[in-house]
Order: sequence, then C-alpha cells, then structure tokens
Amino acid sequence: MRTLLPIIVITLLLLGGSYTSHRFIQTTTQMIGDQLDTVEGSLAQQKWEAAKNELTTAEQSWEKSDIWWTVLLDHQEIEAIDLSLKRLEKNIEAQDFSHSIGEVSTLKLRFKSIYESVKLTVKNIF
Amino acid sequence: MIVVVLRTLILYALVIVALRMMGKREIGQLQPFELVVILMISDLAVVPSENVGIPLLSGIIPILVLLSASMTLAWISLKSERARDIICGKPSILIERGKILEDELKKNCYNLTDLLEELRLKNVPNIADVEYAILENNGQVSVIPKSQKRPAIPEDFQITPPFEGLPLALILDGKLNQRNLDKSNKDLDWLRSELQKQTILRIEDVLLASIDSSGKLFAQAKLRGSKNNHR
Repeated sequence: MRTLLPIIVITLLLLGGSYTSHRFIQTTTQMIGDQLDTVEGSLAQQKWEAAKNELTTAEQSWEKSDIWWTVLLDHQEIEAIDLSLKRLEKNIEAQDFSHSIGEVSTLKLRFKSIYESVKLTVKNIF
Repeated sequence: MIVVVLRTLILYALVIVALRMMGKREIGQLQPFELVVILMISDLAVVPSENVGIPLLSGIIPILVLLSASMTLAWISLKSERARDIICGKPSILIERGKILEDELKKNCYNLTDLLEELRLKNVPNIADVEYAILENNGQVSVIPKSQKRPAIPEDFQITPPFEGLPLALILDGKLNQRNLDKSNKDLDWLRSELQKQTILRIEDVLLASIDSSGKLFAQAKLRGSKNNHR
C-alpha cells in the first residue's frame, strides 16, 4: 500500500490536471477566438469604435487568466500574443484597415494553434 | 536571476523527493528501467531550471510521470516473478562449476577481459579458483570461489564466536545521543565516569564516543581550543 498509494495519487493528479488544463485552454481560447471574430466583423464594416471596445473585452479575457497561461504556456508565446494585441490596439486607433485585419487574423491563428497543440491527437504525440 | 534560483531549487527538491520515493535501491544498484528514469529525470530538471521561458510545469509533469511509471514497474515486479523477469531480466551464469560459459558471455556482450577484471576486483585473481560467477541484473558480478579456495570461517574450526552487535555512537561532536545511550542500557553517570577515566571532564569536550556490543567505550577528546564543528 505504501507504494500503491503514491502511484494512485500521482496518476489521479496527472489525469485531473490534464483534463482541467485541457478544458481551461479549450474554453478560454474559444472565448477569445469568438471575441476576435467580432472584432474582425466590426473591422470589415469599418466600425472602429466598436472594434476597439470589442478588442478591450478580448484583452480583459486574456489578462484575467494571465497566471494560468504563465503556468501552461511557453512564455515566449505569451509575449508574442501580448505584442500582437498591443499592435492591433494601435492599428485600430490609427484606423489602419489592412494592418488591423492582418493582425487580428494572426491572433486568431495563434489562439487556434494553442488549442490545437494540446489536443490529444496522433500528430501532437509524434 | 532569483527566478532561476527558485526554479532550480523547486526542481532540485522534486528530484530528491522522487528519488527518495523510488527507494534506496535506486541510488546503489540500478535496474535497467531505474537507470533510464535517473538519466531522464536529471535531464528534465535541467532544461526548465536554466530556461525561464519554459513553464516550470513542463519539467514537473514529466518527472511525476516517470516517478509514477517507475513506481508502477517496481510494484508490478514485486508482485509477479514473471513480470520481474521481463522488466529486470534474469541473472546470467558466466562461470558454472569452474567452466566459462562462452554463450552467456556472448549473449551479454561480456568479454574475457571484463570478466577477469571483475574477478580481480572481487579478490579472486585466479580464474581457476572460481566455482561460479554470476552477472547480476544491476551489472555487478557475484563470484563464488571453490570451497577449498574460500576464506576459512569460524564454523570450519567449530568455534562459536560471541555475538557482535552494532557499535552505537553516544556522543558526536560534543552532543549526547540520548536514544543510543538508552539503547546501550547505560546511563549518564556511567558515561561520565568512563569519560573521566580517559581524563575527559565534560561531554562537550568529546569529539566522538561510541560503545560496542561488549560494553567497551571508545572516546576521543576534541583538540584543545578547537572551535570548528566537525559534523
């Protein structure tokens, strides 16, 4: 039992941690992705003020779970997203359509790839 | 920089806990699956400790996975002999009844030079004196000499020597170990009187005092004026 108990505890911790982190990444990336879709929609209609407000909401969602991202994600990836968000914010302020639409697409792809990288697939295992 | 220090300390503590949980065998006599764990754990701990860009969890999770995998294999091999043979392998007899088994040497990629070296290390320089040599799972060779070549033991002379227990350290660097004193069935007065016989007046002045199973006390005083801690 002395050996079996730590095995069971560690296995449960690993399984529980894997499930929780997967759920967290799935819901958060999906939520921010949806918010970026709305930003993209507003940009397409040249609604700069609405795009700015929607981006602020997306930034708040991203920053709210900052600590968890630091634990789960490569820190360079976090910095890249921070930079991209800041660039998008400035591009919207400057009402630069082509740069804004390019940056929002990059951000969407980044969040999508975060979720894709944690999915249990043969591709990710190898 | 403090982040690197803390990350390294956390991983260091985790590796120590992992090795302690794997048991004492891990440090001395490694089975193949245990050796792999040691090699991998040390490497896994290094990467996140020197690169702050990698989440600490990326080092901790694989260590925990290896720990539980290693403990599971150890548990399975403890419960099943067949599993033990598969996981740890079987010892190979290299010399049987004084005859070298060439096939076993080849199977284990063990050449004659290695064999002779191991025999010399086991204080049996002459291969003609060996009855059995067994290559154990941890890579060590156990040597059983021929009965006429092995060292004589008291039983050969029909002598029954008195019981020899473990010596107990009673004082280490001026500090009394009360538990060992109780175990030796002696008291403080006896200890003080024995020390006085050796012209040591205070327990604090003793560098080392130990008692053997026959009740004989060994004591050595600290050097006069020595202030450094010896422990």
